[in-house]
Amino acid sequence: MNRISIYIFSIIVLLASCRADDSVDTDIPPVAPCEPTPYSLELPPHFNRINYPIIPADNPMTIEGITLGKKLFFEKLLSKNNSISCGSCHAPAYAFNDKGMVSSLGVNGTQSIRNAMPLFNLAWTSVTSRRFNWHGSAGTLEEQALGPVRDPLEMQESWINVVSKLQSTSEYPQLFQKAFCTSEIDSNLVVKAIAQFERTLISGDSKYDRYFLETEEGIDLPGDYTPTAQERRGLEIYIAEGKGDCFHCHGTPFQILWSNNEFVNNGLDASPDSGLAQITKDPLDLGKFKTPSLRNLNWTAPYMHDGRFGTLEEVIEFYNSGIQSSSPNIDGSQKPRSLTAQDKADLLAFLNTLNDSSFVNNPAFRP
Amino acid sequence: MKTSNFKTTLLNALAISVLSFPSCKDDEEVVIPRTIVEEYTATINLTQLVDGADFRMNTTDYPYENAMRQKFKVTKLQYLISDITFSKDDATTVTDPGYHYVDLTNAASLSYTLATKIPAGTYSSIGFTFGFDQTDNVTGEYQDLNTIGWNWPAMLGGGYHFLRLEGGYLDSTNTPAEFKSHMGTARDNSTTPPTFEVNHFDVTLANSNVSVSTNFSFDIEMNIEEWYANPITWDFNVWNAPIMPIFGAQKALNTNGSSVFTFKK
Repeated sequence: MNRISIYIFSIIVLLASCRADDSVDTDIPPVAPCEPTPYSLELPPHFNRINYPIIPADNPMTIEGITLGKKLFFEKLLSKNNSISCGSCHAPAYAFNDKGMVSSLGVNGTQSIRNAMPLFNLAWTSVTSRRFNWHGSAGTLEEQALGPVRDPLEMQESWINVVSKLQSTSEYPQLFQKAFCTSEIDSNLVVKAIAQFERTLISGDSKYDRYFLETEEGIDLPGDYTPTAQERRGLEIYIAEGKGDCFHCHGTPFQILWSNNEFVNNGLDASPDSGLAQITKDPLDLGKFKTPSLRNLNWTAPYMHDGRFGTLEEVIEFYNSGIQSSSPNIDGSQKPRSLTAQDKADLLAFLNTLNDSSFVNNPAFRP
Repeated sequence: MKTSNFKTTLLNALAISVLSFPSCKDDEEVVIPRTIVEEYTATINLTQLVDGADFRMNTTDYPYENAMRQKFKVTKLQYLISDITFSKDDATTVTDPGYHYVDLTNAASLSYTLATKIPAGTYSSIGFTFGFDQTDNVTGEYQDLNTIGWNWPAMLGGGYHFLRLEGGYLDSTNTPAEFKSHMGTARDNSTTPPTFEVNHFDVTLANSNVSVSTNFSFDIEMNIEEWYANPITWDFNVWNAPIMPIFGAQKALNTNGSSVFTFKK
């Protein structure tokens, strides 16, 4: 072997040894950096008229968290016999209400006490009343999501079982790893993910929104809308003290959400359901329920906390002539109105301008 | 190379600095010494009284009486003040340009720390605007007030509510009835077309002289009965609810409002 050959041999040996070292390194599983992708809410421009929602510091929104939350929202493993999910009673095509049901059916057909609330623009509840559900039983969206799983009238499951079922799947541990940097599932992470998804459910593209954007924000969108004469009259009735006076609870156009999210006794019954008082134990809260948004009424029948009114005509007639003035803690705005048939038709026409079909048809909100 | 550049730069800087010293000295000679005025934090406590006694809300009975001897109780009290102003004898003023929304169901809203620090000195009076003045009462302008639905309807002139004082009273047959004293821009229907009249009022608190030499606080007391008593005697049987569209009622609240507030150190 001449000197050149020795050099070449030596280089080959060195390269071989290098390759061997490399192969040892690849035997150690690479530690993938866990960096969920931050997500900012996509708000319609005119939502800048109200405060930006409060996102909990311990549950920042991420794309991976929202993806996981959406999957969990429609996941039937959350119920006792794997028969229902959150989405079973909160259907996207009905503005996340329960498809016309007066009260929802839980596992094995158990009947819930109250009408399932529609779900949209929930992120702003944390800015105002900070209470979720008709009777204000939850202080955060995360806390709200804990309840239905263990409710004996709803999903009837224990969180221990839910976590066990999710953990035993092949895909959920990976999804939790991506969203929360741990494959160890627990109930807090489940509800955090669901809350993240729910905060993305933003409705702000009704006919009236388009009219508002053009007239108040100077934004001319394709498909802009000009209210009819009847709808304009309806808005005046909606606002006017002495007529509809709806705005003191449901807001003016600048309130955007069409609810102040406060709790009010609207005079449904002389001896009302306990409502908020069930939670606060304060007799002054007797009969008070959360003021629902007037958006998307086209899909959220029946109405009121107990679903007693099947149509908007019935609702309007209640406010016109059916208020029980002797109801305890009744709100000061609740007095019998003197609406004519024309007034009622006009008011209804206006309310229908708040329906947002792009929200109920949004594929991003479907399973 | 880098070291060399650094050295060059350092030398240049030193040269410039040395050359600059004489000119600095010249400048110092012409500078007029300024007196540093210390500034302090002002915190306002919003308190409420009825006939000099502590106010109670949401009573089961009707503990209060207006000037017409009509018994009433209060179930809601929310109001807005703005432009807190400290005035000196020499007519100079310090104004905090912010606003503050008071809701008696929210204890945190009963205290208001001004964003503007108040310079040390003696002030002969403190005042504020009840509601928003014409410049500030801009429809849809304030996110937080929009969020809580504090808007005043466009058909009544727009802007924001200044006051929501609600409760119950016993009517002429001693039957419980409700009143809602909401105040904002006043619409005058006697003109064609209807015209709108600003309805805020400016308050100069009596005996509100303060000497500021440290952080300080004071009370602005609302004497609730004054809304219905002085100088216009308010009849709940006439003006109960709704009163937002009633020009006379809106102006009566404005007139009576001037004696509603008092100052307390």
